[in-house]
Amino acid sequence: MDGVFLILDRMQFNWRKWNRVIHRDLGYFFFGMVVIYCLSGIAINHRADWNPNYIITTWELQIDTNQDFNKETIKSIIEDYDIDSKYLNHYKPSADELKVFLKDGSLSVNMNTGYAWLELSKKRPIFKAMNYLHYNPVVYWTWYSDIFSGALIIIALSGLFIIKGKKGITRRGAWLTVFGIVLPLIFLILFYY
Amino acid sequence: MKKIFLLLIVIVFAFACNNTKTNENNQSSEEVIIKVEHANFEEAAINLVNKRIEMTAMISHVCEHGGKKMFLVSEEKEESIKVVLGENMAAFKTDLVGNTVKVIGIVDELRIDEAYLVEWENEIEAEIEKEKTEAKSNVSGHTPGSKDEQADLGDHKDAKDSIADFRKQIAESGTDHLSFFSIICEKYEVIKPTDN
Repeated sequence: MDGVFLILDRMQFNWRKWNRVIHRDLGYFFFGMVVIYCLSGIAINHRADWNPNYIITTWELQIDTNQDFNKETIKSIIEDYDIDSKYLNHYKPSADELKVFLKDGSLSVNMNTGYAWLELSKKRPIFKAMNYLHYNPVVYWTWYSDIFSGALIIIALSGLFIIKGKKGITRRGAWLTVFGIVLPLIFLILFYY
Repeated sequence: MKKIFLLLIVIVFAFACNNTKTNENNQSSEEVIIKVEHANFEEAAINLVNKRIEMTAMISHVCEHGGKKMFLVSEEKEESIKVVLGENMAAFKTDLVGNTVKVIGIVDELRIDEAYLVEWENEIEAEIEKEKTEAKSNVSGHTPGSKDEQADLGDHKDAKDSIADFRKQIAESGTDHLSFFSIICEKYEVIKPTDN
């Protein structure tokens, strides 16, 4: 292996220099993308434990259902209960249920019992926007993220050959690279096959 | 460095132009747009398949995983109408829920008939066979709960129940098929509330 690098190094074309340039500049350029996908990746990984897009607060209310529920009466309920969100719309999903849409949430009322469930949500700063991008919102983003994925492969491959010598890919680097490949393989053997 | 910035500006500009051009093309190819009330959609849909319609209704739900679908409801009718994201459109944002929107799109029909159900059944059978084969090649001895046993017990029971249910609905409908209508969105516009 060392011999191959020796031959390559003796060639007039300074491949190590270009390898560093490619690795460095792609690394700079795609820094933002790496952060976007890593943060949203962590956020989405733990979807079972938290809502990565919204901070949701809920209240239980008791509402008098002996009234005609129209836009005006619903607005007055929102005022009476000091609900910090504006009325948008309402409809009846079923005969005994009323759903009110608010600017930042919703109010669901059981028309038989008057039991109401108020849910107000606030966008989670940064994460909401990053998750939006993570889910491929538009075809142009899909193209760009494909380019990013290709660039990550180039960054990974070029990264292997940045350092020469005992900490390079022929010694310490080889061991770490092999361990890094073996670890996902263990997961595959244990849980996939 | 200046060259890189210039290149980036050109790329962004090219994308923006391309996007505008697509919208203009859509505009110019617009034929007649039929206005449809949400409450009348189900009855009228059969005659509107592949036609361009305009509907104003409120959004009850936006698919959180990718915003590829949203559902429209109205005060007059409980049933929701599925609106699917059109080609090259940006995902529907979940913040849209509760707003009134004017949607322009093409009516699409999903027709479920006997041929559709048979094909579905065949796919399930093929999947069960595949799972059995995989399980046999991977597990030397029989273990309770192994893949072949799960397949025998019916991991696909829900799908089979759905097929049986569709067959029953088709029989009850008096026709040879069931139709499910949706709208493939071309563009939409949020109608601002007049007073708040």
